[in-house]
Amino acid sequence: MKFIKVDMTTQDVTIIEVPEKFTGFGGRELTSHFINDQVPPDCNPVGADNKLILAPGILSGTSLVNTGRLSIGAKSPLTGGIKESNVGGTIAHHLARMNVAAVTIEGQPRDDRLFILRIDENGKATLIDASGYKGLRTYRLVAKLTERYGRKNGILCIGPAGESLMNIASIQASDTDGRPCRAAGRGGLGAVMGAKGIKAIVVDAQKKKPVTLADPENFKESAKKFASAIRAVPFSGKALPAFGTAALMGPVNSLGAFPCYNATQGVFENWEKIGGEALAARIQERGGKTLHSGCSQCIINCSNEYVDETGAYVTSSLEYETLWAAGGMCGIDDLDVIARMDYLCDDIGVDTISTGVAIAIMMDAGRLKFGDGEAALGLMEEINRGSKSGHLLGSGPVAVGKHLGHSRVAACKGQSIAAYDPRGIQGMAVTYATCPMGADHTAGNLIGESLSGKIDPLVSEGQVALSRNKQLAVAGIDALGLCLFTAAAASGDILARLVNAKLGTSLTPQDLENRWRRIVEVELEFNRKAGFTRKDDRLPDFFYREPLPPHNKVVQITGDALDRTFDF
Amino acid sequence: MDIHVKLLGFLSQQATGEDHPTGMIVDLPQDATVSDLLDYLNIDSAGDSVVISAGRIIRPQDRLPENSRITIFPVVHGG
Repeated sequence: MKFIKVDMTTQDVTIIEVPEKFTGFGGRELTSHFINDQVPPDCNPVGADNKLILAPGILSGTSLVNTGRLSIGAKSPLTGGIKESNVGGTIAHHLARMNVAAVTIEGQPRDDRLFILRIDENGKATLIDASGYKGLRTYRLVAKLTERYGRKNGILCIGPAGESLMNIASIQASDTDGRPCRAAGRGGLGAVMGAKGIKAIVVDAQKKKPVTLADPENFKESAKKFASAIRAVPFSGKALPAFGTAALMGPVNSLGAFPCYNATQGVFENWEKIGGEALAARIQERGGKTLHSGCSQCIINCSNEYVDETGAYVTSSLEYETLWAAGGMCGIDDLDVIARMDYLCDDIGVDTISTGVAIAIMMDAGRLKFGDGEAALGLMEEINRGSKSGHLLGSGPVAVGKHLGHSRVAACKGQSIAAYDPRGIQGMAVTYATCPMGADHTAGNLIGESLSGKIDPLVSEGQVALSRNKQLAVAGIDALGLCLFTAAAASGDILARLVNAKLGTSLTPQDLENRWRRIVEVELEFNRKAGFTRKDDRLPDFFYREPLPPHNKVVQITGDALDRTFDF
Repeated sequence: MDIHVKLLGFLSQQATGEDHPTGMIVDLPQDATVSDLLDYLNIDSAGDSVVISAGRIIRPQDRLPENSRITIFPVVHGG
């Protein structure tokens, strides 16, 4: 396995063997160890000393299903801490099949030149002048790159927000249809890519041969069992294929834990207009696509393709978190408007969650009216124009709150929460507060545990341990390159069998657990060196003071309890 | 007693008589439990279904509140 090492100061591209200390690592395990080892914690996230690393998972490139996730790591401009932002699409699969363990990008061009990083079918990487693509939105950019390099490529790219180094800039990834609609949205890593002068990374997709396996027979047997287990879980086998991630809309509202109108209500009165059932019905009646595959090797097919009344493409994939951030959080109940907001986020290259939350804060502060979708769309266009208000929005929810003097800002470590209110699901308070990535719904989401009766979502007892265990398990899912929606099928035993059959190791499930724990430890270590203290592991004051209807609860998890989360 | 039931997700697709998003009215004896309701709807009570009343999860052995509004859906996971 090799690293493609790109130095943007000298514009040198070299291929090196994976350094011994990173051997056998993949995905988030590799990105977090690499960032902690290689990046000065006090560096400017958009300066020359920060590094950007893209790493397929340990199991990516194999025949195993749902291994198409790519981990992207750097110091985050949004949080100031370590970041792993995870994205689907096809790139992880293609890189792994070229035996590329990681692409690392360091330094900074001395001028404001832009480049394309092209990785051909032999894994040879070249920097190509991209000045002609400057300022392009992602859909237009990808169309031009496809015209130039052909359809058989996977593309990662940034939009105008990334070029402008905005804190909420995303890195967009092309899906299996070649559209830049999958996003490494969280943490502003699009700004890091922009600061490196990289407009896009174009990876050849013609290498069909899977990666070499140490024990192909055992791998095949375990892979078959894993796929069967994914299909047998009702959520991944039935709910996601039928309704996509929007299947969460009804359950979270029914639980009274759907933060809407800038987290002042726990049930959105019109959630059924934007929920999974309504979304699927709308898409089907207009001739769009449900049961859509967005990522390599996917058998879940939770993606969709939303079309307008004439059947013309609007966006893909309209996800639960976006339906929340651009919908309920802003009081918007019109699927067509939310779909346009989703497209615009992908096209300009910003995180849908951070964008929606920032707009909701503006609405809550009286700058816009809740429910005014057209005003929200107009404001988003300002990001592209680079106006003062666009820059403010692109700086993220915390910056918007500070600018407006508005204290109801649902964020931790600079990053906004997602579609699960920590007052309605107390365990999410632990995850949001203690996750090294900032408030992150993917890091240790406890909605499943709350619904399945493992814990009462409205009590504080037991939430810390549950969040800790989930956060460590998810670090492993991210290291392996697995889709998070396989988690319910991913027992320690089957994962150990798969890893051993791929690498020729004899790791036990406990060995893997230790490795996943080490991932979080190095992330915490980086954050400590970057200046984070336990005071940063706290939610904003309003979560402790403002009861959330309908249960009228506040966050009950104490600071002492939060401090014990990673008291290893 | 009449119970107003709303089924979400694929439970809605497999149920007869349920009109999403309006839901359906189910007539059950006064002392009926959640388990009785699930039996009536032909939903496996040992399965992965969640039953909610007034924003709280209720268990198979719990008695159904009179004139209650019940929502039932399969367990979902986040991410």
